[in-house]
Amino acid sequence: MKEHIVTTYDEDLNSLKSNLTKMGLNVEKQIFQAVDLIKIINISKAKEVIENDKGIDALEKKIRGFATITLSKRQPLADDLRQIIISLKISSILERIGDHASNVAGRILSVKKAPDSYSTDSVHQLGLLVLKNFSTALSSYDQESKEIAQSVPTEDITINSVYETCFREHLHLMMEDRDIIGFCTQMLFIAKELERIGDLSKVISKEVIYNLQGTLK
Amino acid sequence: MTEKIKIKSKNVNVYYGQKKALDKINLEIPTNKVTALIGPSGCGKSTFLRCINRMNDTIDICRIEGKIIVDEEDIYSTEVDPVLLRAKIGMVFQKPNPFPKSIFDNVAYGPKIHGIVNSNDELEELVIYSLKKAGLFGEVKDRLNDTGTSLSGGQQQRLCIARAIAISPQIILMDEPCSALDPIATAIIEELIDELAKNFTIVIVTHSMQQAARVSQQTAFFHMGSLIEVGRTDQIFSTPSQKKTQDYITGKIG
Repeated sequence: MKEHIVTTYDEDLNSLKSNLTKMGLNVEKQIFQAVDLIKIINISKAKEVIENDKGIDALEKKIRGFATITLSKRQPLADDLRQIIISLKISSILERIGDHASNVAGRILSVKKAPDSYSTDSVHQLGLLVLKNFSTALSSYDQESKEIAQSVPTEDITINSVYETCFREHLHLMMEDRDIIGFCTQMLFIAKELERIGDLSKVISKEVIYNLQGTLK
Repeated sequence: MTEKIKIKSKNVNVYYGQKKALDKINLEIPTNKVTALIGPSGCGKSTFLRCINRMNDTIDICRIEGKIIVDEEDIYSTEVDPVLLRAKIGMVFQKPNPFPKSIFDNVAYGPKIHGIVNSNDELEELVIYSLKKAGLFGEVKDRLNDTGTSLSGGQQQRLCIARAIAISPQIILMDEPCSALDPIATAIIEELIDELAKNFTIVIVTHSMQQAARVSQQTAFFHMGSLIEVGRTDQIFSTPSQKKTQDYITGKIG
């Protein structure tokens, strides 16, 4: 990538990117911990995830302020303009993904403990797939790679089908054992939060492609 | 583009002595639209603009090859009288250059020498019409006998536009018309350009990318005497197809 004649312009764009990447990594950590909570329920860790969401919200505000100042200072065009537009869009998506991770932790707080008869690992498996696809979407932004970005929607199809399977499996579990209906319902809500993170990862990858190609597909 | 074409340049080369200033320029300028010419200093955009009304004729060492066709007529053919041609093509310069005459006479001068009007009443009507069209009449209606140079920079530039309009040209060439103006005067001129484009074909040279993006429908990017890229303005400023264009509009080291 060629450098701008005005070096502070490059510094502004680099700073925007590093802040967004930092926000992305924080969100990734939140998803990781939320998914881990599904396997091993831990109340204090769940509270931590909820508390950490505030930091993510603050980063979104910081990026928004910075992007606004850069727009007014530089009046960017073409790829520079797109880079700023997608940083606004992606930071807002990351903030929402952060909310979903925090919601997962909130559900964990309300279930407290898994019933002994609850034997499946499918929601946790769904979480691992979602986490991996989010990381892929984030790398496509960091590395500005169209190839990596293009793999995200394909993987999301798998995620959606795992989500469907998960849903049906829990319906069966609830029909078989009425005592775990409450727990299974919470797990289904968690699965839905994860599925939403999957969709939003796909939106991030589309923004990355828009930035590189200049047109929305 | 399927619009009607007002000006067509075919393989235009321009030399200043031994130096080639423009190299095989092929450009079509649509009727009643604004075309912006952009590019770094010395890229040939102003030279090209000056070819359109044969202003380069006045420079002895300047030589032009190729054709510039306005309304199906090659303006460099021996049958074309440059004076009559310039009556059809008005020009506004970077620095406002009103005549050292009254506001009224500044506008009335062109119609008088070209014999456009038959009576004083008709002349007055035309002067008022032109000043109104240039968005200046309201500000000067009570002081038409004051000198043109007594006006502010932005008003002087609008006076020059009124002067250009008065001879009812079909084309208006503008060479950085706002570069000596403050942002308010610039906004007034830009508003005026939008209005004028309904009746005139406008070609504007500008160093402000944002201005080109705001006022024009077509943009042509010149670099070192060549036409690098021409296209719809929104496309040029969002997704230019040439690397050189992208680097120029985003201010990267070329």
